[in-house]
Amino acid sequence: MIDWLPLLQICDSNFPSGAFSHSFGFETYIVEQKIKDASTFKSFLKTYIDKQLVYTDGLACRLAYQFEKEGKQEELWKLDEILYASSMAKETKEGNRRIGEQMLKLCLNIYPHPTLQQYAQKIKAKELYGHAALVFAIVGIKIGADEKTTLVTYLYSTIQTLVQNGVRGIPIGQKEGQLLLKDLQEDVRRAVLKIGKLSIDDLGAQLPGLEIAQMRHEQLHVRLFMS
Amino acid sequence: MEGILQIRAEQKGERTVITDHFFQGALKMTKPVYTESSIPIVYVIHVGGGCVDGDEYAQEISLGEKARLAVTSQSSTKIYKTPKKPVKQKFLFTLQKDSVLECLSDPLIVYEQARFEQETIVHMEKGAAFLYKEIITPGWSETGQPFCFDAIRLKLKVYKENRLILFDHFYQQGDRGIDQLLNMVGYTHYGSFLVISDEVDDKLMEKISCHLQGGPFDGRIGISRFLPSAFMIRILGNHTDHIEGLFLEVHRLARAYLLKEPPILLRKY
Repeated sequence: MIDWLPLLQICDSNFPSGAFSHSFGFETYIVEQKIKDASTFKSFLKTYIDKQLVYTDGLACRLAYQFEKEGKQEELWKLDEILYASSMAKETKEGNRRIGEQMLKLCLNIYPHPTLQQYAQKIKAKELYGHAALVFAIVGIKIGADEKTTLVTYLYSTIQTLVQNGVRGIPIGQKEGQLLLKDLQEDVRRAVLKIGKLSIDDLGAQLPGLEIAQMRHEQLHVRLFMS
Repeated sequence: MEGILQIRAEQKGERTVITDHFFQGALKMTKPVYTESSIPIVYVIHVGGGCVDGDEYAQEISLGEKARLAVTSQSSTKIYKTPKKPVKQKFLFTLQKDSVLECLSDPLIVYEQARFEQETIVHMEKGAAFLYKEIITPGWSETGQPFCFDAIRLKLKVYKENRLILFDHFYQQGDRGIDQLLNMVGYTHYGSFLVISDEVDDKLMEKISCHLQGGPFDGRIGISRFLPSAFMIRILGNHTDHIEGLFLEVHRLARAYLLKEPPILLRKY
C-alpha cells in the first residue's frame, strides 16, 4: 500500500504555499459577473483542468517526475525556464514563481533532497525561477509515490485551493465547494490520462481567453487576490 | 522544402543595407524600400498563393550590430487543406547588439481541414529590440462554420543574451471547445502584438493602455508588461480590420517612442 500520509500533507489546502492569495484570472470573471455561482464556477474549472492544467502545470509535473527519475537534470531545469517564460500575464507569472519558491522552502525543510537543494541554489543565483509542479514531482519521488499518484495529487491540490478561493471570492457555500470537488474528481482522472498521451512538444499551450482575464486582473479596482 | 529565404542586413554609415540574401522555391523578396524612416522595409512574397499539404518553409533573418529592418508579407498567409501532412514553417531571427527587427506579417488564414505548425526562434543580443505582430483568422469553409481547421500550433521562443525570456505557445484544435469562456470566448479572430526593448517604460505603457481603452471595440483586449523590458497585447475579436486598426496605432506609438521613427507606411496590393 502507498503511504498516503506525506502526500496528504503537501496537498492540503492549508499547506502554506501562498496559493490561497491567487485566483489565476478567475477574479476577473467574478468582477465581470461571468462567474457568479457554483455552476458558472464549475464550467470555468472544467476548462481550467482540461486545458491549463493538462498542457502546462500537469504536463510539467509529469515530465519533471520522469526527468528527475532518469537523472536528466538539465532537462528538468529547462522545464522551470519554459514555465516562467510561458506566462505573458505579469501577476500570474509572479504568482507561480512565488508559490514555487515558497513550496520549495517548506519542502526543503520537511523533505530534504539534493535536487531540491540544487533547485534552491539555482533560484538564489537567479539562474532559475521556481515552480510548484517541479517541487511536487521531486517530493513525490523522495517520498516513494509513483508518477500517476504524484500527478493526481498535484492536480487535486491545485483544484482544491482554487475551489477554496472560489468559496471565499464568489462567494459560494462551503457545501457547494465540496460538491464541486467531488464532481471534478472525474475531470482530474481524465486529465491524468490525457497528460499521459502528451509530450514535451505540447507543453505550455495557452488559453487566449484566460490569459486576457489574467492580464485584465491588473486593472481591477477592488481585488481579493494577487492574480 | 517548398521555400527558403535568408537575409543578412548590416548597418553601413547612416543606413541599413542588405549585405547578403538567398531565396529558393516559392519564397521571394523585394528590394528593400527606403522611405522617410531610416528603417528599410523588405516584402516577402509567396509566389504560390498559398500553402498546401506537407509544404515546408524556412526563413532566416540576421541583423548585424545597430542594423534596423522591417519585414512584412505581401499578403496574408493561406493554409489550405492538408489531408496527409501539416504545413510547417520555421523562422530564425538573429539580432546582434543594438539591432532592431520589426516583423509585421499579414494575417494567417487557416482553412477547412488544414493543419499548420510554425516555430519562430529569436536570438537577441544586448540592446536589441524586437516588435512582432500576429493575427490568426479562420478561413472560409463549406458549412460556413468558422473553426473547421484541424489544428494550428504556433511557437515563439525568444532568447535574450542566451536566456529564454519568452515561450509563447498558441495551440488550437478546430471546433473543440473553442468558444469556451477561457478560450476564444466566442470570437473568431486572434491578435497578438509583442514588444521587447530596453526602452520600454511606464510612460509608453500608459500611452498604449490609454489607446487600447480608448474607442469602442467589439472584442476582448489584454495587455501586460510581463518583464520590465517587454509587453504583450492579446486581442480576441471578430474582424481583421478592427484588430489591424488597433495594432497600427500601437505600432505607431511604440515606433515613435522606442525607435524615434515616423509611422511605417506599408503600401500593398
